[in-house]
Amino acid sequence: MTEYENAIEISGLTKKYDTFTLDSVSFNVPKGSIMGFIGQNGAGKTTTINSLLGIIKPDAGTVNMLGMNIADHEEDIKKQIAAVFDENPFNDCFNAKQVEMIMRDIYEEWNSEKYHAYLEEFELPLKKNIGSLSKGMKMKLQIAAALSHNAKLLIMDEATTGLDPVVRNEILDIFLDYLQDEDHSILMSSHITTDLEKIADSVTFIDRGRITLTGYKDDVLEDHRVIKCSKSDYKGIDSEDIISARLTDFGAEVMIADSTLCRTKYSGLTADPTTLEEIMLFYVNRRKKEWS
Amino acid sequence: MKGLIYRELYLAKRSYFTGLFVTLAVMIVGILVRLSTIYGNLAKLDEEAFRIMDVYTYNIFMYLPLIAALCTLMSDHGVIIGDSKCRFGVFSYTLPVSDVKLAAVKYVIPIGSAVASVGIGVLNAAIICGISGKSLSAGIMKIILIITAICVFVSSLSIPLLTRFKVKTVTDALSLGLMGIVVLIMWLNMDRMREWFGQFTDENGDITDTELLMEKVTEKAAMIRDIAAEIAPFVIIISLAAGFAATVMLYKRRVK
Repeated sequence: MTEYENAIEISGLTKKYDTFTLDSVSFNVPKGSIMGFIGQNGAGKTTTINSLLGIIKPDAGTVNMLGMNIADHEEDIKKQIAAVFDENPFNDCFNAKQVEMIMRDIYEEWNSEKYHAYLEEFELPLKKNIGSLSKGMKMKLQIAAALSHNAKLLIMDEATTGLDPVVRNEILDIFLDYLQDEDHSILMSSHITTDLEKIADSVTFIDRGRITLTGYKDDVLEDHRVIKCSKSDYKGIDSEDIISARLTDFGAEVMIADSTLCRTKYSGLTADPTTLEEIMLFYVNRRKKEWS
Repeated sequence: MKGLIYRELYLAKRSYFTGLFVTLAVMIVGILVRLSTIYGNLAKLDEEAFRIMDVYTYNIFMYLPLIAALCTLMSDHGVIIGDSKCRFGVFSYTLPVSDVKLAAVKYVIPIGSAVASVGIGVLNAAIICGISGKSLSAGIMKIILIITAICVFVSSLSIPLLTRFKVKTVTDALSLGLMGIVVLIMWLNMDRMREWFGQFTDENGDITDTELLMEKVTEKAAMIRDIAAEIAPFVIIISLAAGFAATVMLYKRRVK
């Protein structure tokens, strides 16, 4: 078995379309961790994930997963990974039992006992058609199938989108449980930043096809601050220090990517901790610099 | 691969059962009509009418069940279109299954259907021959082969077209296109055909010697049949190989 430090290593991943370009995307997902891949709709999350999974062919760049290059070891890699999408890929006329009949022949390490245990834990009926299940139950079935063939890496594309908070919470708990095994890793794309704040170890922001930020979640949250001040105070802040500023009738909210700088250079101003959602908003608007 | 083949079979089961039902219905109707022609009410027709009825029912019901089986069992490509709608097509790229196997899954069932259809066709032909007091001749087997080759050709091209374009209109366009080619060939040879038929007609265009015309037409048809039967196995092999290769290429190309 190949030894590796990072479950996923992406370098210079590029894909060009007419109206969008995934521009030299690079980041790593450390083994045994969960990375939140964040961006607004159309930022390039799905394009990146589709390139990882071999659904689309990138124009340039290298992708290594589980210590192997995907170009050379595609089938070996796919035996050890599982993909979970926002929409159920199994036809609505199938039931959980038939899903197993399809999947157990595809994956050598399919574990029937594990699958049935997950179905029981998730309270999923064995013989009810997928079409008659709720959205949350369909997602749980997809996850049950994904977790039943000893996958070392889960790649999820907007898997919790459209689910209610209760179901989302249950699913996040499943992932935390999955990560108890330090050989397991997760890459999870989402624009629901609150989910990622709960479970991600590291985060990567993508905006307009480019990586704007990547790092450990706690470090990212710790590094960034939002200064809330009056417009006159805002004028005193160096524009080079500003990611972007949200201007209102009453003042300004300014994001700074260096909390130490906030404490030293702008000690007279109130600098509040921030959230991943705010970081995403401010980074998305950094071209405009000032927005409202 | 067994799991994926099971999936294809299950998704298409309704159309297979319908196809089988239609084929058996046509077969039973054909057998009953032949029985009536030889032993029943249709046997009581006057000589000229009986002769026409005998020829038509023999030839039509000899091959109609085969055509029904091939058209209904081989031509259900709704699974391919359905895959794109439920995202299984995209999901299948994440599975540890090679592009060759993914493509092979799409051909296993049509090939199996073709074999089963030929089996049904031969069985039906044997029954019709038995009822009619004739033997299952090489000529009949050749026509069965030719019909099978045409259907396999159309089906083999349909699979990559549907994989690429994901709408049924492409297969309809393919069938229309092929019929159009046949019509065009006939139209281009219209003068030659008119000249040939002219040997058997007077200046008013009326047939002067029906027996001789039928004899010559049968000779020509047999010649065309023999040539087509020689080509048929190659058409089957080449169209399957080309269709399969095109499908593999489309899978390798991935989603754009």
